Amino acid sequence: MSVLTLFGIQILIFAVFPFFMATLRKGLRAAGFYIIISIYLLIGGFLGSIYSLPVTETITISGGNLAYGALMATAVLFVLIEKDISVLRNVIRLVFWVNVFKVLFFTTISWALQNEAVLNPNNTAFAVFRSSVLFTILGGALIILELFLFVLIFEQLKKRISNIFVLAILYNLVFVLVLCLDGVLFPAIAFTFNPQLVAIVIGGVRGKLFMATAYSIPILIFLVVFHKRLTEFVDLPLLLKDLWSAPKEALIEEIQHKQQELEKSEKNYRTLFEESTVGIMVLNEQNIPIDVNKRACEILGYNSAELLSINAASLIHEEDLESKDHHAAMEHLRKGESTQVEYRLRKKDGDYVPVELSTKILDEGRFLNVLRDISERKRIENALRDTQAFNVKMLNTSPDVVYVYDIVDQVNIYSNVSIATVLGYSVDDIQSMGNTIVKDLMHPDDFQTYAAEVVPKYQVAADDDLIEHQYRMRHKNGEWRWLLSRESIFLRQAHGSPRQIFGLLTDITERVQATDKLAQQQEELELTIAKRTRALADQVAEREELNDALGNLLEDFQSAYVSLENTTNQLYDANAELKAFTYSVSHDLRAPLRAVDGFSQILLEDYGDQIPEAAVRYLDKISEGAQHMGQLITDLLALSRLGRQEFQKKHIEPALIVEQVLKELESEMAGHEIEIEVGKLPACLGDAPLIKQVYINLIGNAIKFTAQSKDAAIQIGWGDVGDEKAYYVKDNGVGFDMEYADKLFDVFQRLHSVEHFEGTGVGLAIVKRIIRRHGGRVWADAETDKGSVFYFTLPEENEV
Amino acid sequence: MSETKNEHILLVEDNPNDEELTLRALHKHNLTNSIHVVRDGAQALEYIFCKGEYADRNIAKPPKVILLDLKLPKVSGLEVLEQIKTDIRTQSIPVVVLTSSDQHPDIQKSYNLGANSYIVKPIDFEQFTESVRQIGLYWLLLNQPIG
Repeated sequence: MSVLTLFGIQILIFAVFPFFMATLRKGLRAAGFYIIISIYLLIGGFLGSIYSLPVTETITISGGNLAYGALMATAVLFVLIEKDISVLRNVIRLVFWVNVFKVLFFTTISWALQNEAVLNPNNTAFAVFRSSVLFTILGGALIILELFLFVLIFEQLKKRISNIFVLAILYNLVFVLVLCLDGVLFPAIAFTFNPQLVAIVIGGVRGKLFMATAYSIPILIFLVVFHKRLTEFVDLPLLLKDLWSAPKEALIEEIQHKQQELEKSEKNYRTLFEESTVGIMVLNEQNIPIDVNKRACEILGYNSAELLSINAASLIHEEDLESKDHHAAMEHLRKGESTQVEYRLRKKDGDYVPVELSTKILDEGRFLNVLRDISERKRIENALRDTQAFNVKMLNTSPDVVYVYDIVDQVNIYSNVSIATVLGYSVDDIQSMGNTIVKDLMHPDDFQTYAAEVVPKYQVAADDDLIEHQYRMRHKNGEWRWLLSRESIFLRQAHGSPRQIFGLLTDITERVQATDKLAQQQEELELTIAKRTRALADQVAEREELNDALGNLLEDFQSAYVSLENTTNQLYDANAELKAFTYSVSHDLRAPLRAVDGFSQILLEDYGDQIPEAAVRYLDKISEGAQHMGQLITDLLALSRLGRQEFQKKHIEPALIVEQVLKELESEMAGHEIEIEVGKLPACLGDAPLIKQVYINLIGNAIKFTAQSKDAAIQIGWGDVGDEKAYYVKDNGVGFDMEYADKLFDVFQRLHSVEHFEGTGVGLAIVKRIIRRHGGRVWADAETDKGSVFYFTLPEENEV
Repeated sequence: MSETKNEHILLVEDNPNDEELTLRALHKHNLTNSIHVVRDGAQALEYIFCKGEYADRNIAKPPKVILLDLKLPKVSGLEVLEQIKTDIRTQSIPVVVLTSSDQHPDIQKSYNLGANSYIVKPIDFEQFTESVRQIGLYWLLLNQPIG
């Protein structure tokens, strides 16, 4: 094994060891560090005295250097890890005292060796130990100096450099430089004492540099790895002061400090005690308060001085002293356990206040009592009790059954008294029925439905769900009652499945019966309706057929209407033309005739004596013609007027009309005897003036055509003609040939010559038109030279 | 026909033959001493209301009777009648409708408008003369007008 390998192993041990230390628990770690540092210190000077390793020809490292280097590296790491002034202080103190020990030890040994030459014939040992003393003193001083330097420089660097890598590298440089300085200073001092040993001990500046670099590497790594621990460090002036301050003063200071802490704590607790929202009383064994807080005074209505002089047990209500809770609490206290009991305590004003009293043994003979005023809670509890009483009352007055049913145990938990009305069983009966209650009471059919459909619903129901079902249950008297339940989940088991249901049960028997009856009636009604509907459908079908027919008819009618409208329009036009024509005839056609007749007459009047007789006759004929023409116009206008004249059908008496007509026609009959016979003429409906015109024309004709007959007779009457009744005017005049009867009533038709019977041929046309307008019929019967009968019918009065 | 003369009869007639026959009939019965003839409705209105050609006439001296034909040029006889009978100054003048028409609507309207008589001119000259005579007699001699 080469020297270099051995050297390497040693450095490795020195470097790794502090790392191992750093992983330890705090207390152990500190102890480890101090032991290692002590060992290094103890062996450092000694090793330096006994060997030196030539690394190369020019580099030599002494054992002392190795030990002190390791010491420095370890101490620096330790300080950096602990971040505590006391660590540095302790390290420095350790270095100091160990070195003092070493100096004494070496001095003693070297003194002994000096005197005992036997043991050391060459006296080299003496030299070694003497130099060790020197080295130890020097080394110790340098260590302390260097530690200060490290801390100082590190602080300064840390303040200025935030990058941990830069900081670590710089710090390593410092470490190496300081150790090298050591390598310069130490020989400079040591040479003056023993030049022989220098080569062994020092190993040269280059050796120092080599060693320092080797030791700095673990520190470098450490700084990078544990850089988070470097956040705060020492305050140097404080450190210096701390180093030299006397331990006694520090102790006094610490006691004072503790005292202050205690006072602060006492103050805190006192404040807590006084301001607590619960009442606190500390009692002695005789139940006399030693200490009470404000709240306790408030609760009990005493001031603290009064309260401190009262036996607390005497405040407890007599009844409460007899209670089970109280006795149990006393038992607990005797065993040294804490208790909590509710008491009524008498206040100063004599009222009792409900409190919850927690008692705990503080120490021998002292009891801590905590009082909570529970008036509010009691009030709420009472209110709750009232509410419950109200609920119970309400439930029992409800006609519906209110119940709670446990679906797991299948028993009735609660029922109000209405159950007795609905099912005939008392509440106790129901609750004693056990877990077969539903099966026993429910109708078997309904029970199947219940088990199959309702029960599964409970399992999946949410709290707000309402489950409704109808079923029958047997009344105590054996009747089946129809019931309607509305239920919801009342209580659940720990894992959430339903346990109890709350239900409201209504007796709907009457309703169901009514509904059944209604349904039956409804069915009957529906049957009837169906029957009627069918009948109606048939009718509708018929109606539709009829409608179709009507539709066709309507179409026909419409087309007829259209053509009728056209015809009507044409008729209107024609009528308007006729009116204009009539007007013109009436006004203009007569004037010329009047002129003809008038001037003919004037001619006769003024020049009659100068006109030949034949001419006079011609003038007469002119006059006659004009007058005939005038008559014709008058008759024609009368005929045309019939179409436009207003026409009113009223009750008329033909007998009266005939009487009037005969009177008017008297002048016509002058000159010949006519026997006129008027028969019975029943009243009828007609327009009096027009019917009068009919009689004028017919009687006028009869008179005219009997003018040349002997024993002329005219019969005016009413009677059976064939199978109908008709009015008639009969004469025994000239009559006419029935061959021409169809022309008789046409206008301007004449069956006799004007020579024999004057006339215009309009009279019968007028008769026909008037009768037609009355809705009657006119016809004639005649025989030439024997006479003629003119018949006409008029609507009878009752026909309207 | 002097304007100052008190005219007894106003004859409104467009047909000269009828006019002549009427005048002859009146004359025959000595009733023609004061007759004024106008030949259409417009002229008749001017005469009666003293306008136009007759602006100088005094409306306070109306004819004693007006013989009015219905079928007239320009303004019909019925319109003339209506104006006479709706004007408070003239409504008291007797109006005799003297016309060929025996049509019921004409007669009805005439009376509705306030005609005092409705006479159908007969074609027979004798009858015509008689009618005119009676009109003259009644309205000029027998009838007592207002005032």
